[in-house]
Amino acid sequence: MIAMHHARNHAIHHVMHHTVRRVVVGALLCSAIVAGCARVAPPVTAAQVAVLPWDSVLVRARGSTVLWRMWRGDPAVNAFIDTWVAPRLLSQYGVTLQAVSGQGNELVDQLSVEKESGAETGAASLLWINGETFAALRARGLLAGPWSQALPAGALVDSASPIISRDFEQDPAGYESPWGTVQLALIYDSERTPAPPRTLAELAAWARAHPGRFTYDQSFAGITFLKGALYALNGGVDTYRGGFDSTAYVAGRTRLFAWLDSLKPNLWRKGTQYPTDVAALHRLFANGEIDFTMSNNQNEAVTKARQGILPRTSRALVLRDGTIANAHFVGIPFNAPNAAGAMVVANFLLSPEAQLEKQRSTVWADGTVLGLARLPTEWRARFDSVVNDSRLVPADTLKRYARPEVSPQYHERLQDDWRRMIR
Amino acid sequence: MAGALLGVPIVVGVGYLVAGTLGIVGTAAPGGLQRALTDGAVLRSAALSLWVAFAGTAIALTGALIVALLFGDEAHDSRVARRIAALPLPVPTVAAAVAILLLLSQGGWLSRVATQVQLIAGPAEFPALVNDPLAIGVIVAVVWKELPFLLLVALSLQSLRGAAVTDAARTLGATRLQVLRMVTLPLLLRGMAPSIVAVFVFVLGSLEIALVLAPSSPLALPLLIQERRQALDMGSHGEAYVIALLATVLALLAAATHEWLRDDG
Repeated sequence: MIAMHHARNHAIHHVMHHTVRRVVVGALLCSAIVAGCARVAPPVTAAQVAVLPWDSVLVRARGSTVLWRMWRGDPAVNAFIDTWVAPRLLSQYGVTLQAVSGQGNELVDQLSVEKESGAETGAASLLWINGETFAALRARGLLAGPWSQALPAGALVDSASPIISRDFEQDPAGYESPWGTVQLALIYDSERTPAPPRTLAELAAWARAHPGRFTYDQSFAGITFLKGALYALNGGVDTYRGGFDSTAYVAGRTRLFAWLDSLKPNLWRKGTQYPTDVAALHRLFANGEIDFTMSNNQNEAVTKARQGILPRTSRALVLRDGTIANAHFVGIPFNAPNAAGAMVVANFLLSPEAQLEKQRSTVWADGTVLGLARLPTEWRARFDSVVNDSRLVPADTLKRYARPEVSPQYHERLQDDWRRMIR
Repeated sequence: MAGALLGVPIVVGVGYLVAGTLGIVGTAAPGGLQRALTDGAVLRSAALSLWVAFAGTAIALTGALIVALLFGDEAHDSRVARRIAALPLPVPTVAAAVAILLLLSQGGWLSRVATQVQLIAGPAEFPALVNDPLAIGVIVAVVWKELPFLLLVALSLQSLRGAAVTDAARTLGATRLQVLRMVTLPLLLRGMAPSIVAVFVFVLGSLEIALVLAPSSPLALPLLIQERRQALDMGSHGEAYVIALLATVLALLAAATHEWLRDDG
């Protein structure tokens, strides 16, 4: 009797166990199918948001998060974004900013893959881009826009400047918004090198007199230096304006590489080895292995000296043959989940308070994109006081020797050919 | 079942590389394999990486064998050796590479000491041990990282099998040298063969050490692949796949050599 009872309970238990299992599996399958079939509405594009009144954009952005893929290689820049920009975005606009690493071809790669796989919503809403990255993204249809014409702070931008109104000769056309400018400068130690060379010819002579004490890096700063030399040795930047000209490029490259060949035996390691990037170049300079470094940001001599990375007596110099000045921009990817939030961030970056803070030598010393004449008087005075810091390269010197970027193809070809023929 | 689980990702990965090379997937232009095999830059990179892998593995192996033979017989010495050998293992590879950089570069610690004691006049007179075409710095970092690993393997082998066989050989009248040559070394090398191949293949493809210490010319194979992979020109991405396939083939050849040597008795 008891045994039958037990057996019956056991059987019921067994059946119930099986049933429960089947129900659970069935439920999981159903929800998987439903989730697969459910269509998440594609996000509102930046172009759609751009036609709304700005107040609507602010309302949409409030309480949202913006993921910004940017260059995170400089702790000073990271500190500016994380500890100054982000809290103000939160308190003034209710936007949570998350800055993560990503630049150049990484962005192009990832967005290309997302587009091919049909991902309608990506992770990032804002990208830090310029030059050849902008060209690559535009060519592949990976940027949303036009949208930057909708930013109220856009009216303050110095749109007359050729450095800002054109990105490597390309018209931003509303697909990217400027947020800073820099100019290439050499950095030297005023104690070690009290009378530094000021032109390319003087630099070559100096290298002959001090063999093994100069080099340039393989990355962005080095190529920008070479581009400047390309202009200077071939009649100036006008030779290369107006799109890519293969004949002009090859002729110019021949002269540039001949100059580099004559310089080679006087370079660090006799020109057989080159530092990987500007950080490695700074290290060689700080260790006393070479007497010059360089930076795409002319003020790095001051900011890095303050951080203790470069010697205290470091100074910047802008070659009188001209050095390249360019602007950096922010763009919105085609599948941005939060275009409204991204536009609010881009607008805030253009605000006079953000541009002023960014330009302080204690913060980043990144040039402003605002036309100072368009600002109210009290702002003009504040900007003047920041820019006329005696340790920074004077603004008029910068302007006199600034040369704009030309078609991104020159950059790509030069980098390729340098790797094949010089390195 | 376990073999299939392990093998499937490898087969899929290599299969995708082959497909990328032939242009079936991705953006490689046809003829990529032939171009890569005749590209001087690729051949120089392969030569440098093979040199580093051979030299680094050989030096690490020799050092490990010497220490194991000297200290492996006594149980106490063996335990001490094992503890010391285990110390470098948890150090991340990139940290070891940076430490070597700080130590051996022309602006590094050894150079500064040499300048202080007036052996040299300045950093330029210190020999170029990192970012140099012989990849000396890379090999030093490889040996520092891999010698302890190989030593631990050797010590384990000795404690497992060593004593009985060598005692038997001595009883049969063999001299110490004969025992070493015909019993101990072959036993050790055969037992360590998988580890030696693993070290070789790891070093061949190691990106971290190359990033910090390798020269820019010739460019180490992993760095070349990374450079082509990151180029804006999408055609270069295809080249990167081809070179990665070549690197995989080199590694597979090393593993195959191990199999052949093992079967060769």
